[in-house]
Amino acid sequence: MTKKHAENNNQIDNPESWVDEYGDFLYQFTLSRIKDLSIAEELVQETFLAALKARKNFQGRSSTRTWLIAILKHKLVDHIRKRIREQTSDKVEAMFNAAANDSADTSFNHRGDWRLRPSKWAVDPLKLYEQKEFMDVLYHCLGGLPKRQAEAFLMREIDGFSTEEICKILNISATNSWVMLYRARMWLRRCLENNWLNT
Amino acid sequence: MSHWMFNCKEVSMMVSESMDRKFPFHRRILLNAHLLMCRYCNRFKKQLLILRHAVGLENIYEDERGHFHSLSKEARERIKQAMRDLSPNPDPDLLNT
Repeated sequence: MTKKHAENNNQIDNPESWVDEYGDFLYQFTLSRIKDLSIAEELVQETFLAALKARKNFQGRSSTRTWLIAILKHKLVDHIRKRIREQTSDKVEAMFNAAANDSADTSFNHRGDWRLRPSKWAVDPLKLYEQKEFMDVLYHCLGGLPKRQAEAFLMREIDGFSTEEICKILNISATNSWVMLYRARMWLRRCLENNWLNT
Repeated sequence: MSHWMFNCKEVSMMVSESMDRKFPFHRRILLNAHLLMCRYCNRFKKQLLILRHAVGLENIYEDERGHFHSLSKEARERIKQAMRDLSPNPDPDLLNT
């Protein structure tokens, strides 16, 4: 690698500098979603290690910070999912998965009309970042998704992967990917409506 | 509401799918015609877009006492050490930091 190249790609080629540059932000981002300081540190460390392993695939589609936060979001949702489920038995876990899959079906009657009509959301999309409660519930709901559905959803919405890319990674058909994303969105919408609007 | 051939359940699937791929023109027209006439499907679409926007946010919040936390010097060192342990053949650049 030439010196010039190294300078141009300083951030990618110098992973330890990520810790100084983005460590605090990732840590604060994590602590905005979970309270435990040591778990937050662990997740930040896991994020940097995953980034280090994947850095060859980082094609500069986004800024380094956005790339690192995307990895962190996957870790965070994974952690929340495990935390929710370790407090529950396998039976409850099966119910969880069924609920996540059902929300698409139970939202409509046999004629395909809305049975549970979408409520009006009192949220200004442009000021969403100010609504901590909304964001808390959102991450809780993301943790409620079955693992593969969550992965597909995060790859699409956070990493910006196309469904073709998601199909390859998860080894599923195109139709399967649309159904998965649809079910994930249906569950999240319902979960948010139940847990955020009704509080 | 079952306007224009599609019922709300079908439209909800189409709304989601339309966020992942481009629809042919005629399908888009039919979808939009339903959305124009059905306030619940229209609301549903807006909510999916809010979801998309929200998961993409990179915002941080202070804790209950109004504090932001930083990684301690020790924590940073622990993380850097873990990164060094991971790479069996570290770049020369990496050693200089």
